[in-house]
Amino acid sequence: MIQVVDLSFSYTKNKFLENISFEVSEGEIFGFLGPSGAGKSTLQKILTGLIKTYKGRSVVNGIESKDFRNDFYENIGVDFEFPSLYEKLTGRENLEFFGSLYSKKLRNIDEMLEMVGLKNDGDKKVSEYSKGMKSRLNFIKALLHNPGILFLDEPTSGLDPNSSRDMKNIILQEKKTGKTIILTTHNMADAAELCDRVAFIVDGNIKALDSPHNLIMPKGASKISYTYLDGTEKTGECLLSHTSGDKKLQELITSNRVLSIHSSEPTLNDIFMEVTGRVLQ
Amino acid sequence: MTHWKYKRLWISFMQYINQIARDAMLFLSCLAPVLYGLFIKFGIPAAEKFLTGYYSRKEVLVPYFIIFDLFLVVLTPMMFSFASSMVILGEIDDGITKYMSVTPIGRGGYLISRLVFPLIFSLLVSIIVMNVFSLTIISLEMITVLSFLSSVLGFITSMMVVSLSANKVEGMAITKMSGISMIGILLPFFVSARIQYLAMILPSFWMAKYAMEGKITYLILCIMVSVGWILLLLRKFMKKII
Ligand SMILES: Nc1ncnc2c1ncn2[C@@H]1O[C@H](COP(=O)(O)OP(=O)(O)OP(=O)(O)O)[C@@H](O)[C@H]1O
Ligand SMILES: [Mg+2]
Repeated sequence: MIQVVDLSFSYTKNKFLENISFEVSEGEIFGFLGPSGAGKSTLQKILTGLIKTYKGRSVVNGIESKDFRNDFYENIGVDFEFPSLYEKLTGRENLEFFGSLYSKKLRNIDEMLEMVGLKNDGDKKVSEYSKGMKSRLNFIKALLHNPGILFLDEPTSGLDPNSSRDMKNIILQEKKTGKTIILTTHNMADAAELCDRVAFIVDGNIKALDSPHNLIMPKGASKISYTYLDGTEKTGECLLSHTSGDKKLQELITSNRVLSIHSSEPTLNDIFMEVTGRVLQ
Repeated sequence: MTHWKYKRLWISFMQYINQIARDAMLFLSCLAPVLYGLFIKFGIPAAEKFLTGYYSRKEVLVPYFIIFDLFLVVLTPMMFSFASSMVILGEIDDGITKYMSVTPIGRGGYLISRLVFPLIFSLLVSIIVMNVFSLTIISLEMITVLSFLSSVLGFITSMMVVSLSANKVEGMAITKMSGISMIGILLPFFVSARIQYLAMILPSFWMAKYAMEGKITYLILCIMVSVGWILLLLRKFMKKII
């Protein structure tokens, strides 16, 4: 569905996006993860044909991004990082206007509003919406014409946990209908949950690319840590796969002296730090 | 598909008209040419009657009637251009222009609906306004040409205002400043000889020369200067709207 080969681009004379290559297959959710300023939104702008002065190849649905014709956008849905809505119009009027630019049959506006909890706010002016409400409206605006490819730039940022949960469910629901989804996020947990594969982007380069599972597994194996009393409270640690080798632990278990025991898996966050040497956010 | 192409442009243009109609200031500015038209159609001849009696001269203002007409012919496109600039700047603020580029209407279609359609619309309105309110008897042909030239001038002004201003407030200031370029209309009448050619970069200057003397050379120069301005502003303008 999407092929990117040796892509490079910069806003200035200095190098920025360099040697970007990846493929996204149909029906996949593909994540861009990286700290602020890494170039995630820039990469999305190239893929959606907003920036045409890149080098290398960026092919979406068989067509080079710089050569997109207007009709191509009938099948593309974009949710930019910042809302793009008429502040003076109501939520519904916004959807009606943008929807009318497509020749396809639209999805039902009321159902869409309800889906993101804006059922009772459709006739309010967008200028009266909260930040999260604008994000949600902006999100369904991208789904209205039922596009086959979705570009979502931080769709859950600024949402409360409930709305964020709802939105993630909708994204998974859309995936089930066969859509290909490109998702940008700072949030590791979201990426781990939603994405089939993620690309770690730092300073304009892809530092790692794989499924969250494959990224996590070979790196840190799961660990357990335990506490016990030995005069004072002490802690011990060993790998989950090597419990039989931990004599102290065995001794504690057989003598019922374990105070607490926890296992912990490395998170995508840990892996990100390990691979890129950078923290997210 | 072609049918949809035109339908989209029309929908987007109606959205533009809607925004003007909802905004009291923009709506009133679009009415300004009619107010000015009423003023010159009835006020100026009355003033002329009074002045000729007062100074006991045969004519006082009559030689300058064409200047009032020239201001009338540029006023309509200027007001529409102001409205376009305000609408476009508002849409840049709201992120709409960027979004339009990733819908089937595209950046080009958006521009057509915000600059070219308004140009045609203001041309039509200007021709009607001139036919109703013009003081001097100029031919329909002349009216059409002058209306066209001033509509192009409006197009250029919008491009300039949008390219140079960061927001609506700056846009209003720059629109007012661009009003200074209307001085080009007065120069051929009041400044003799060579000095007037200092204004040769202003399309309005060549327009006034053309209206005065009817020489086709002036018409061509006006168009060339206008195209020059458009080419000069195009890149900056395009950059501004994504
Ligand atoms: N239009 C522009 N002109 C010049 N530089 C820009 C432009 N847009 C972005 N940049 C620069 O490009 C870099 C990457 O920006 P980008 O928006 O792609 O980052 P990002 O990874 O999406 O960050 P965030 O997570 O904060 O959204 C930044 O240094 C930014 O200042
Ligand atoms: Mg971004």
